[in-house]
Amino acid sequence: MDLPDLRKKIARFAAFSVTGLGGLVLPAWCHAEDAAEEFGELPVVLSASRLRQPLVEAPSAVTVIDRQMIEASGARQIADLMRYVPGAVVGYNDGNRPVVALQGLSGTYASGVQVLVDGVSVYTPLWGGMQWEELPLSLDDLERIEVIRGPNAAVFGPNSFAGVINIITRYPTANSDWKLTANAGSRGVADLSLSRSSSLENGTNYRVTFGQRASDGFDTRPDTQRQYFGNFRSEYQVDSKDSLHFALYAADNKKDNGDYGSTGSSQVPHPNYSNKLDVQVRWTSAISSEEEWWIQYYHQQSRTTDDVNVNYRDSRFWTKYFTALAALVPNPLPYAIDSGYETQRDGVEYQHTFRFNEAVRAVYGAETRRDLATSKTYLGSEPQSAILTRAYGNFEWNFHKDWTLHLASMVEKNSLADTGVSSKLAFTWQPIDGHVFRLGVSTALRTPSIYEKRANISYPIPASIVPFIPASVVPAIGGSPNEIRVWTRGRANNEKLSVEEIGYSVNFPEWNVVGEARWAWSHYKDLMGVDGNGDFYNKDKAEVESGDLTVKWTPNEATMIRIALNKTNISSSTDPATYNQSAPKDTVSLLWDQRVSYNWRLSANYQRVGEMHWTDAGNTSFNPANPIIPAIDYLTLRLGRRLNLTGFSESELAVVVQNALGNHRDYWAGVAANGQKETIAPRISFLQFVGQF
Amino acid sequence: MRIFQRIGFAFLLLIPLMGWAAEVLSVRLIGGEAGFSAQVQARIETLIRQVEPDVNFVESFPSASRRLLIAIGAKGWRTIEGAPVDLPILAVLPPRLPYDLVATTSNRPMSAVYGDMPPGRFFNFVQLLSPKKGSTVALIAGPSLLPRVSRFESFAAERNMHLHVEKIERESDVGPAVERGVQHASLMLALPDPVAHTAATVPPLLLITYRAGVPVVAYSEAYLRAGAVAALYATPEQIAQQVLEIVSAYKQGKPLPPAQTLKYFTVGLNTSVARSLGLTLPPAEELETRLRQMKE
Repeated sequence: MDLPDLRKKIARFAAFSVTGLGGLVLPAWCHAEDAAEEFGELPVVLSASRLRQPLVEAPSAVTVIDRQMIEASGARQIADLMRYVPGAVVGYNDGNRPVVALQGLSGTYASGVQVLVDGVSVYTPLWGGMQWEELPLSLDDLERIEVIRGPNAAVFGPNSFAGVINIITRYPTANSDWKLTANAGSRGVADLSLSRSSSLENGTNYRVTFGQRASDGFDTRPDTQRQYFGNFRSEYQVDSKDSLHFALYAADNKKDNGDYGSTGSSQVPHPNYSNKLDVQVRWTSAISSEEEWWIQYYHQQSRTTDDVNVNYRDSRFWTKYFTALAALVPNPLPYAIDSGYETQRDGVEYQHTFRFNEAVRAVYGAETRRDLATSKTYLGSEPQSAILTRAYGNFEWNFHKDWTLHLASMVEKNSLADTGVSSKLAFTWQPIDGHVFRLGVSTALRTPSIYEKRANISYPIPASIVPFIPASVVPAIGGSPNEIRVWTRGRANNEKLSVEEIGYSVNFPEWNVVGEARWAWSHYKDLMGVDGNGDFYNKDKAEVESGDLTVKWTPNEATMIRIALNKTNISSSTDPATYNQSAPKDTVSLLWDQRVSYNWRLSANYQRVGEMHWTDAGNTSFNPANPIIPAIDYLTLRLGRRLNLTGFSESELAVVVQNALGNHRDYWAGVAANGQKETIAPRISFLQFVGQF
Repeated sequence: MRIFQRIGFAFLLLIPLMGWAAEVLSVRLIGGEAGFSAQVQARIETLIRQVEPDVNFVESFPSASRRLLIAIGAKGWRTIEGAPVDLPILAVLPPRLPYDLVATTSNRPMSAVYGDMPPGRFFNFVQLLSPKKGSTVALIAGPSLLPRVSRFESFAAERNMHLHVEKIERESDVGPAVERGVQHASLMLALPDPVAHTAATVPPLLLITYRAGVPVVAYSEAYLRAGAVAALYATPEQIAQQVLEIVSAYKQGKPLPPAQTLKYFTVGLNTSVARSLGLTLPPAEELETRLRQMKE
């Protein structure tokens, strides 16, 4: 099949998807075949919810990762873009499982971070954290990412605790008709993304993307991943005010899990399969640039199949009686534990933004959603649900020409925790144009995840843990028909946070410099811990003091230099071993993006993360011999050359070297039984082709 | 005798009226069926009926009359294809390239009110909004704007501005072109172009420029509402006024004038967008007054 044929077929499929899935067979108004209609109606694009305070006047500290930074990053995973955020740490639990922590206190399922894709929460209902590697988005689908550093639960809802990561996808027709990005290189990197953007006769603008992300991960872990993903976004303008947004995301993943060198580890290498489907439908009525309301429905579902092959020698029977022998004999009888799970999320949200007058602007809204999770191994035989209902309001009052008051509050009723209130009060003061000072206090809650609240772990074991011994005899010799059983008593309740912060934002347009600094004191209370029986309860306190500075300088059209620094100090009176070093004391992020000539572009993206440890990587008292991951210097280099390929309106070939400074330990400090360090992040080099046609 | 004098006087009075009746102007309006074209057509008809009540609006032209076909928009323009070659035509907001082609290759009596302002006026406007010397203004130019780009560049240069032009051929080029444009420019100028500015291209254009902090100065009230920070445009009433002036002169026996750009204009500001971009703009009335005083 030649390329035009293929294009036509994909285009037909895309058109079918639009009319079939979106039901968009509505009358057209905006197909401007009449040139006089150049002057005719257009939708309100910069509507009330899209217009925000100028960034320097925002009530929160916001890091914006824009298209230029995304393109210059050399990243393959969206999570890697978080390296730009001062104080953020991106750790690779294994070569294909990135974890993002914004302010320490975090393990694999960093759960105090709200992650939104076009306004819908995408963190997993079961664990409460984000599975970045499963996001069915290509980097080409992204317009920008706004990261709010610090809590903002009053506006962005539950989990907006340590921060909010707001992923905004590109408007459907912002790309060329077709866009192709392909990466191929070391460690089995084989990524592909093909997107088609177009408009239908009825004025619907849409983009459909299909892609694959694949790599062999780290040498030292069984972590090969291959993901197929697809997403579709359409915008149908019903009339000059009303529009219908429809989005669909789907992914199919296969990823290896476990550890090499299996003695002492319960997870021998095994594949994990997962798939997901997310749908979002939003009706927006943009009455003017000052008033807008929208209502949205979203549905998400995912299924993970994870048959964990357990090594019999790890069973209590063997470790109790034959520890020495276990190290010598081969695995006598492997058996698989069904560690799979399914999740589902359905929600409806309404939001109304309007302006009372020149000085006062308000937003209010309400949301209700149901999370559902099923897992025989983790949650017992019954599906577990969480019902969330929240109402919120946000009020901005420009009460003096230099001063603005920001007041926000949210009431949240969650079936997993007590009803709670999160609030924010901030003043911004702009005594001179381009210089804004900010003073704010906020409170936020993190409701427990379904797992933390309802864990009911049982590993059903086949007839006997030892061949030829009847199951009835097993308890008598120290085994159990259920080898491990933890039944959470449901004590977990809200984690609480209050923050005081001061900030300063500056904009020197004549020098093309923007900068921002923030100092914050965060008081965490009732942080979740686990008792000796594996039961979650609110036990810990931590004080976090952090300061950061970001400066971006664009001295000319060809050069961009950005620096982001952070200092963080954590002190926990209740569990210093776990928390005090759960964030690096210092992080540095440097980006230099240089268009060397019309054809050549060079970018260098460096991050230094001070020594730290992740809270679930063995706490410092637990593993005193080797508790801390040493400081990491992570450098990515990208050199791109513009091509003039026939048939492409734009094309570029780039060489990308991730982790150019070489191997470092990432995430786990542990050492495998065979003496090999468990997570060594290697250098990864690949060629990247980007073409638009 | 007196009765004959009276009859004779009345007859004398009737002569000019009879002459008028013989030369009554018949006007046919076509093309304005929906949207902006319909608004323009309605205003033209209303205004002509008010000011020139003896103009005869017809659906088909009577044989003995002065005739004028007023074709509105591209739709109106398309319907003139089968019209008699001697039928005088006034095209209002026609597609510019096809109009220019016909106007230069046929002897048909015709005139037009283009949808464009004089470009100097736009660059004056940009200068008032962005007084910084040496600033770069981005322009997305489709096939219909391209022939005029070099003129635009000299207009910009005369005002100490640099014009960065991104050439496009189709709608899907616009997004990438805007991405490139905002890297070079501090302001984006949107001039009427049927490829560059459509319902499919305006949303990404406004979103990309807004997020890059680059204000858009546009050419229509709808664009202003959509999210341009400022616009210079003619209302349907102002377009109708210009058409009326051409019709009145034509009715008095003058020939149709050469094609004209838009004569009357309104300045519109989107204060919400300006506020969000952190811009402070002079009042619209002040800008209008200053624009009228400036050389175009």
